[in-house]
Amino acid sequence: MAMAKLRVEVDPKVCVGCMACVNALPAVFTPNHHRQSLADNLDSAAPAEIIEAAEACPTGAISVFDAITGERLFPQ
Amino acid sequence: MAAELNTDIYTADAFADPYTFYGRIRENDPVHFSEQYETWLITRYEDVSWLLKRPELFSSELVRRDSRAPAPPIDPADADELRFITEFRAKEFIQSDPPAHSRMRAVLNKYFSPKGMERWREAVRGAVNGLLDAATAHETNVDIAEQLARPLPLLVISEMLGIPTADRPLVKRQADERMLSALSLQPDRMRRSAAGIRESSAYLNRQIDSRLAQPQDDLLGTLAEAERSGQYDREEVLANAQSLIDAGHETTIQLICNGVLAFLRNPDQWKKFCADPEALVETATEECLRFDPPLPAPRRIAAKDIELRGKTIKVGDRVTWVIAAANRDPQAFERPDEFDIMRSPNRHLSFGSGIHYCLGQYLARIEGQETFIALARRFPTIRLKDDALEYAPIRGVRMLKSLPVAL
Repeated sequence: MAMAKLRVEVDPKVCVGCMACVNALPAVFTPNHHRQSLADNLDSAAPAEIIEAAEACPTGAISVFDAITGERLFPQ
Repeated sequence: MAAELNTDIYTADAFADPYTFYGRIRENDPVHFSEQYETWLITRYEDVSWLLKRPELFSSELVRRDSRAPAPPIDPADADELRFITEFRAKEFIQSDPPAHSRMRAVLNKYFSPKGMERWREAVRGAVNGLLDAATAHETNVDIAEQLARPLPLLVISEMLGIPTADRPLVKRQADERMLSALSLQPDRMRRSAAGIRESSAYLNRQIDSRLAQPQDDLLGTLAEAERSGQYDREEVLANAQSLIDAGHETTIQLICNGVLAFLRNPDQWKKFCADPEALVETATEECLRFDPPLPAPRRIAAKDIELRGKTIKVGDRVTWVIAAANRDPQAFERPDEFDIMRSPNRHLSFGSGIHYCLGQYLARIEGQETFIALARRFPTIRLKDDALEYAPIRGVRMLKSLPVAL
């Protein structure tokens, strides 16, 4: 069964670079040169893992969407 | 001139008004070395923000890496107690660098996420109103510090940890003693703190053992599960449970007291807030945090030699990052000394930044928000009973001794 395609946004105005998402899911979340998170390689993890990593963000900087429908999956 | 700066951080003037005191240092010598307390004072917003995102340069392993004698001095007979406290506290994640920090914090991140904490809002609201009901049952003169700010956060963190109601006075007393090593300036502080840690560990050992025997869905249960799965050892469980109790209540007390005081000393802002508290509470609470932060000046320790604004910070040097100065830096905030509940954006540093960004920041915000809303809705005519307020002569936390108001 094909996995859902996701789109992940990290709000740079809100991300404080705590690395909670990087530690939770390093295959997807990496720090950029400003030490804020970037989401990439979304196919390397299950959607539930990505949503769980987004949930670990203490500032709510990460939003997860269904890439096809645009539906917001997290936060709901 | 920098050489003439008064940098005695434990004087009555500095306790009463840290903003003028640290602001003078920020404007004259923003990366200043205090000979008296053997620490660098980093005071500009830009520098503090940069420092907080560089844990490889500025270590959090304070107790482990700082072998200098405590200042002010302790009773020489307590050297063994100091060693005990050092070894115990070195297991806290807030006193750790990666990878230990990442491993320990990962266990708690999800619990303290905005979504996780939002589930507690109703309970916090009920607790605030319950305390206000009790405080005003027979009296309209109330000490906000004693009757609202101190009991509320302990009640909430105790509920989260799963500490039975009957045990909470004991847990509070242990926490007050334990925190003396970090807060007090008295020579007997290590002895009392060590006793508090031992008592608290004995109590928490029983709590953790019971959760290992029969899992419980609370924060102590989360730590017990981390021990069972090998993510924490028992000493880490005990050190971090105690750290959660301390951090989970002491700073929020000051957010509430300092925030209420800022409102009362700025009646135009209080009036504006009371007109629509629910709509304004988020920006107002952030402004309370910026304007008078609970922790004015936390510390790191230099892990490497660092050049900053022409100064050389040497490996092993103490580095104090002065939130009280950074949050009032005119290069980062317009009208920095004005209390403006509509301020937005408001990227204050009261919860830090980077990997040590305050774990409980969302909980603290909820407790502050619900308190300010309840006061505005129920007691919009609240006023200060006595403007001559005193701050406790302690390190680290900006603590009002009392906050008497008429409701």
